[in-house]
Amino acid sequence: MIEINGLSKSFGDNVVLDDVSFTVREGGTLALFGPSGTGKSVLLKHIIGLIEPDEGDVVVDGVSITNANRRQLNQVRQRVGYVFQGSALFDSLSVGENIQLGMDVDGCRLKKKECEERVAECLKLVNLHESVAGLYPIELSGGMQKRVAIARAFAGHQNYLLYDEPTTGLDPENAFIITNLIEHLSEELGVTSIMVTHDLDNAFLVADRIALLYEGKIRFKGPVEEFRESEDPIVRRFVSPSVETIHAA
Amino acid sequence: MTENDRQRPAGTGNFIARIPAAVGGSIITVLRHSAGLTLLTFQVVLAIARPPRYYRALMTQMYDMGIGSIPVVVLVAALAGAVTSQQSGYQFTGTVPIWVIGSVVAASVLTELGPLVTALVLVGRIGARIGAELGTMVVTEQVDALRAVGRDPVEQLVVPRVLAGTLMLPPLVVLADFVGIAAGLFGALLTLPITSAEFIYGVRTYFHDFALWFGLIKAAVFGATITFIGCYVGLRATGGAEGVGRTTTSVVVSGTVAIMFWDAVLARLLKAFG
Repeated sequence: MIEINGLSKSFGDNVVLDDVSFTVREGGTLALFGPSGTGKSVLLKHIIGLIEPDEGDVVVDGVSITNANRRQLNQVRQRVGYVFQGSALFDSLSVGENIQLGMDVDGCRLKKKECEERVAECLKLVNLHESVAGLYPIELSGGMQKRVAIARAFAGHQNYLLYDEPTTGLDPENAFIITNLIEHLSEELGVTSIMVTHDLDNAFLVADRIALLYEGKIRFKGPVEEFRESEDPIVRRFVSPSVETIHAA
Repeated sequence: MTENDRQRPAGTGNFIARIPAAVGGSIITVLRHSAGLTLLTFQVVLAIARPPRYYRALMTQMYDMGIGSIPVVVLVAALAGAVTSQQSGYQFTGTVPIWVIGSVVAASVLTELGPLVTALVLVGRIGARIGAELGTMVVTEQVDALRAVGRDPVEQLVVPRVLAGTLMLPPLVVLADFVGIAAGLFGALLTLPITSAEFIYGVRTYFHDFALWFGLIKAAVFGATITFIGCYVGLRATGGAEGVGRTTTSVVVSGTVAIMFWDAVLARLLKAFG
């Protein structure tokens, strides 16, 4: 379970998160919406300790990220995979080496053959041929890079997967493929996912719960159907954006 | 508006009012960088103390910094040695014994030109590359991705580069010393009334072990400085391509200044001990 308790974060005078609290229980996928620049990615990065909060805390499976030492933080990161917006694959490493990095935070303790088998298994799960393992990120398309980034995120049998705008920058076909992949992985691997996205249609396909971050606070959190039917003018702006709903908000 | 205000050139008041803020801002910047450099030094020392997991990265960096730099180091050292012998020849001919040119070339190359020219060339070749590489990794979230998989960016990125720079600069300087003196000899033979025996006699007259150690110690310090500054500035990159460009410029400027600073300080320190 991931608990976010009274999280606040400012960059200079810009208050990005203002006393944000919510809980993500195990299982299923939570889609986190919000206008651009509202702090969705910042919130996600707090969960694995990439950013330190000004106030509040994040607790992952009982471990406080704010107070965790190096070892505890690494143990949490072993359980939480992160898919970055731009994939963030290491240019100097092959696809296989990139995936191996995600297998064990203390370095791959598996034997070489076991490592290769796990890499092939991860590539298969994201619908890529095992021969891709020998290629370098620069040789892959944007959609393939995204799939490798997802493979790296779950290569260590992580319990949670955090996706930072996984379909941004992809054409509709690739965006749909990635969305299906996220849904398939949630079912196949039984991981809990949090997906930051602007892509409402694809999010509705994969998410079972929605959270809306607006002006630094959680404006809505609940099941997808409740989100669709909400009368909150801010929520309506996202569900059916039009000149009328934007003016009404 | 008073009469005095009308007579004052436009903007003067604002300019004077901004001086304390500018001075204060500069002091804060210096303090912030001092704290940042100290913290990174501390992190590097801690990372070196842990069991190494960067052997492959270290080998790659050593190869790139060492073997990859040989052509440019040889070229620049040869030019420096040849120019030094010719300039000395023009000034000394007829005033001091001609073999002194060998001593001047050896002294210049071993204590100053070898380490300094090598370091300044490598600020551009290695320092700028490290700054751009790490800067790009920061802005494309690769450094965050390293941390997300539980790796320490200082251990994985900074330590191999700093160790490689510290270890590879001394052999490069030895090469530069050899090439510089050899080029000085050939330059002198081609343009001055001197024999190779006279030149070598001059070199031997000057040469003492400490001169070589002096150059090697400087080289190790310069190597650590270039790579450390490259890493420090690179890891602080912000923005996109423009930010990486600024990072590269900053590495070259601050690296050059730091090398000149260390050159002056080490000259005093090492001569005091020597």
